Amino acid sequence: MAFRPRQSHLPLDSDSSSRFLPAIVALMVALLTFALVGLTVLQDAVGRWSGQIEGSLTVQIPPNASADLSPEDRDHELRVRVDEILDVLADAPGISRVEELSPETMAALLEPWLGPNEVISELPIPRIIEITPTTGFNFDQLETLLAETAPEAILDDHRIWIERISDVAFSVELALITLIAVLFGATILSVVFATRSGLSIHRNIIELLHLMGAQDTYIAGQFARHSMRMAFWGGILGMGIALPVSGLIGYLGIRAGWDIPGSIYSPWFALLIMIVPVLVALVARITASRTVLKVLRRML
Amino acid sequence: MNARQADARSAELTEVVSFRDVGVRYETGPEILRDLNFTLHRGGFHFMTGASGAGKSTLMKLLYLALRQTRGEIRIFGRDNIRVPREDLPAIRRKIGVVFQDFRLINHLSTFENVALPLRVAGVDDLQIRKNVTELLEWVGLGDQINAIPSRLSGGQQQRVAIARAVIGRPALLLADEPTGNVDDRIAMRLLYLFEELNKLGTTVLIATHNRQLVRRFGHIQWLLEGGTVIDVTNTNSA
Ligand SMILES: Nc1ncnc2c1ncn2[C@@H]1O[C@H](COP(=O)(O)OP(=O)(O)OP(=O)(O)O)[C@@H](O)[C@H]1O
Ligand SMILES: [Mg+2]
Repeated sequence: MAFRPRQSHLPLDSDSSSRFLPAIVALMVALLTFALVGLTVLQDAVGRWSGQIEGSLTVQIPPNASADLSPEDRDHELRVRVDEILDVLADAPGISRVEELSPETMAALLEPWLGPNEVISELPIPRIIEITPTTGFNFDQLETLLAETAPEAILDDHRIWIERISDVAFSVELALITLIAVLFGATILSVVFATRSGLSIHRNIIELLHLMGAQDTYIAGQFARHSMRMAFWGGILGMGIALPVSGLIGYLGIRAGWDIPGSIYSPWFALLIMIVPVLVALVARITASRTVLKVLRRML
Repeated sequence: MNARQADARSAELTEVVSFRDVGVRYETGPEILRDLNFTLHRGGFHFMTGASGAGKSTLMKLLYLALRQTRGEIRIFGRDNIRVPREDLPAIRRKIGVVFQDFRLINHLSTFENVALPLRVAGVDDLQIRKNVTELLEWVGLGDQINAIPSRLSGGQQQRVAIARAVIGRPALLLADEPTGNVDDRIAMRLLYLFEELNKLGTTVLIATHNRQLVRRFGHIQWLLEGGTVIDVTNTNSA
């Protein structure tokens, strides 16, 4: 058994008040584990979501609108300009991918509005180039570059969207981190209160040991080890409830087609979860020790 | 060093407890004990009688350092009970064995563990504890109740556990508050023989009791607690 004291002078475990502390700790640790798993999943989802939006910028190149051009000439003229822009973009810094949407893709996109294929080749349809920015990308620089080469090209930046999405992502993360912090605080407080009420049940023992000439540190140590063990097993119990339930939800989610983020399987996340019962046990230990010492200091 | 100084010196050496003009009140209540002036010497054996509410248990509390006097001076093992630093108190307390009037056994510990407690606190090793506790429990007639918990014992059996716990550490001062209230005369005699054995080894004994018959049978020093103060009635009674 972990944390087994070398000499258990006071088998406090065997009295019924000892069940209160593990129960409350189990509940709080279960909630905390749920929140941590939830935060990780949501953080990952929001990150991917905004990443998808951020990934795409488009450049629109409108066809020449003058009426005296034949459709063939117009098409050719547009082709030349698009190629020119493609060349410029290929050399621009901070861009990982440049792709012109093929006429087929365009047609497919426009079909609901314009009907079957043949019509489209007859119409002056703008060309669209998709850009995936990467690190080192500078929006203003690209805008200037385009203004020099092709002033008629329109850079559609989704800037508003990107800003909104990162706002949402930020709020969601902030809310979850606050929730975790609050749950952590509540866990610690409940360990503090459970430990204290446990000790008040044992007040007569504390007093008796004191009158028998036990050192304060001896008495405090007995109760600290006891509380630590109770809280540790409570924490393990809480995790034992929360992890399988999270796993079940995850399994059902995968079957329903969710993407389960890889960060859940990382050793860092496992370590974070493992730390919870240890931390709670330490809090219980410190609380018990300090509470007993405080009670003892009031005795003669 | 003249003869008087030498006398004072040797008296001091045998002094276990001394009270000088001691008085006690609980908070703002009346003075329960007053003008207490006495000395307990090494190897002394004292009985204390007194009406219920006279203050016997209160006097005991002063002696086992659970209560402080509101006036006067108390010295225990030569140390002033108020001026002694807190960290020295455990060592003094370990030299005092107490049989509480209400026993104060720990309910979720076995008879054995209850009796072993003072030894555990003092850091005595397991083997020694096993031997001494088992032997003593046999002696007080609880050899067959070693693993019982206190709530399963009769009042008299609980009292014997409390006595065993008080004497297991061979204290220099034994304070017993009504130690024979729940046992028949035969067991009471046996327990008093136990106290006498301990007394012969040098332990100073103070027993508070209502049982005047017992007091008379054992002789020793007899105190009467009356009007808040101790009156020595040894010669009055035996006469
Ligand atoms: N903790 C306390 N607070 C206030 N008053 C107390 C307290 N303990 C005892 N007293 C009072 O002090 C007086 C002496 O009580 P004490 O217990 O010392 O008597 P006693 O001689 O031991 O009586 P008994 O023979 O019934 O055990 C009583 O009047 C009691 O009401
Ligand atoms: Mg009393």
